[in-house]
Amino acid sequence: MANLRKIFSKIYNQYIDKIYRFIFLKVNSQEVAQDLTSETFLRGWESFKNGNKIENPQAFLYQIARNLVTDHYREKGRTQVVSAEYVPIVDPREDLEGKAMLRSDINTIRLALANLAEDYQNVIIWHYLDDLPIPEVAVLLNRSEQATRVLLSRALAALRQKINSA
Amino acid sequence: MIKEKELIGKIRKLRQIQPNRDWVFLTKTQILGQEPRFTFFPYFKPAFAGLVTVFILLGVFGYGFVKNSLPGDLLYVIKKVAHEGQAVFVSENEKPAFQLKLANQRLEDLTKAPAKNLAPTISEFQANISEAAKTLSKIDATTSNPAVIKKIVEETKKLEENKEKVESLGVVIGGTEELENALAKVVGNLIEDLKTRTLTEEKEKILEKMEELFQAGKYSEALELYWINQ
Repeated sequence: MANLRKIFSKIYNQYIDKIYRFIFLKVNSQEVAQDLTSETFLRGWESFKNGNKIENPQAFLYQIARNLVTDHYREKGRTQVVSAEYVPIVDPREDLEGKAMLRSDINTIRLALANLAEDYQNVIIWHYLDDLPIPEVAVLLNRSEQATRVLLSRALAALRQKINSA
Repeated sequence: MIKEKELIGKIRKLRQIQPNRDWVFLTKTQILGQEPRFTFFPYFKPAFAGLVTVFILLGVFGYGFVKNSLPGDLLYVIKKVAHEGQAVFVSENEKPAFQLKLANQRLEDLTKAPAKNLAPTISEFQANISEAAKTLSKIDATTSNPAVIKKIVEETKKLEENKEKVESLGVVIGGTEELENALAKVVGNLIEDLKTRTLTEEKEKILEKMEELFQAGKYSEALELYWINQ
C-alpha cells in the first residue's frame, strides 16, 4: 500500500498543475476547479489502489477530468459562462504594469479559448500549454496523428479569428 | 492580424494559471494521507537529506549516467536533487547566474538530443528561467559585486546562443519574457543610478550607449557594457 501511495504521489505531483489548469480554463472558477481537480485525483487514486492497471496516467486523469467537467455543466443545465473578472495567476514579476499587461493578455486569450469548441480547446491546451507532442495528443483525442494535426491547425485558426474579432 | 508565433506566445502565457500551493499540498494529504517521514538523526534537514541521497545514488548508478540524464529520465531526479543541494549554498546575489546556468544546461540537453524528453526538458528550462527572473529582480545591481554582474552577463549571452541553436533545430521552447523584464529592470536601475553620479566624458558616452541599447531592448548587451567598464 505504501508503495502504491508513493507511485500515485509522483503521479499527483506530475499532473496536478496541468489538470487544474485544464479544468480551470473550462469552468472559469477557482473554487469549482479546485473541487473538480481533487475529485479527479480522488477517483484516480481509488481506481489505482483497487488494483486497476493504469497504463497511461495522463490519459486516464484527463479522461476523468473531462467527464467531471461535462457532468458539472450537465447538472442543473448549467451553461458555460466566462467571466473576465478574475484569473488567479502565479506571477513572479513585481512591477504592477507588467502584471497588468500579463493579466490582460491572459484574459484575452482565455476568453477567446473558452469560446471555442471543446476539441479545439483540448488540442490547444495539450499541445501548446502542456507541450505534449502530436502523437500523445492524438492518443488523448483518440484520433490519428494526421487528424490531430488538422484539428490543431483549425483550432489555431479559430482562436486567431476570435482574438481578431474581440 | 495576429501572427502564429505571437498567438502561440500568448497561449503559453496561460501557464501562469496555477493552483495555490497550499491547496495542492492539502489536497494531496487529504487524498493520500500523510506521507511517512524518516528521521535518521537529529537536525536532519531536507536539503542535506537530498545531498546524502545523491551520494548514495551516485554510488549505485555511477556519475556518468546521472550526469547525462535528461528531465523525464529516472536518474534525472538525482541530478535535480544535486542541483537543489548546490542551490542551498549559493548566495542570494549569485542565484540568478546559478539558475541561468541550469537553464543553459537544459538547452544544451536539447541540442544534444532534441527529440528526447522534449516536454519535461522545456518545462524544466522554463522553471529555471522563471526562478532566474525572480531572483534577478531581487538583487540591487548598483551595489552588486562586479563578479556577480559578470556571471549574469556570461550566462545570459550563453543562453541567447543556446536558444538560437535549439530553435534552429526546430524546437519551440517558448518565450523568455520574464527574464527580459527582469534584465530590463536591472539595466534601468543601473542607468538611473549612473545619471545621479558625476561622470567623466568617457563614462557619459558609455551611459548614452547603454541608454541606446536599453531603448533597443538589448538589455544583456547594455549590462555587458556596464560590466566591461566597471
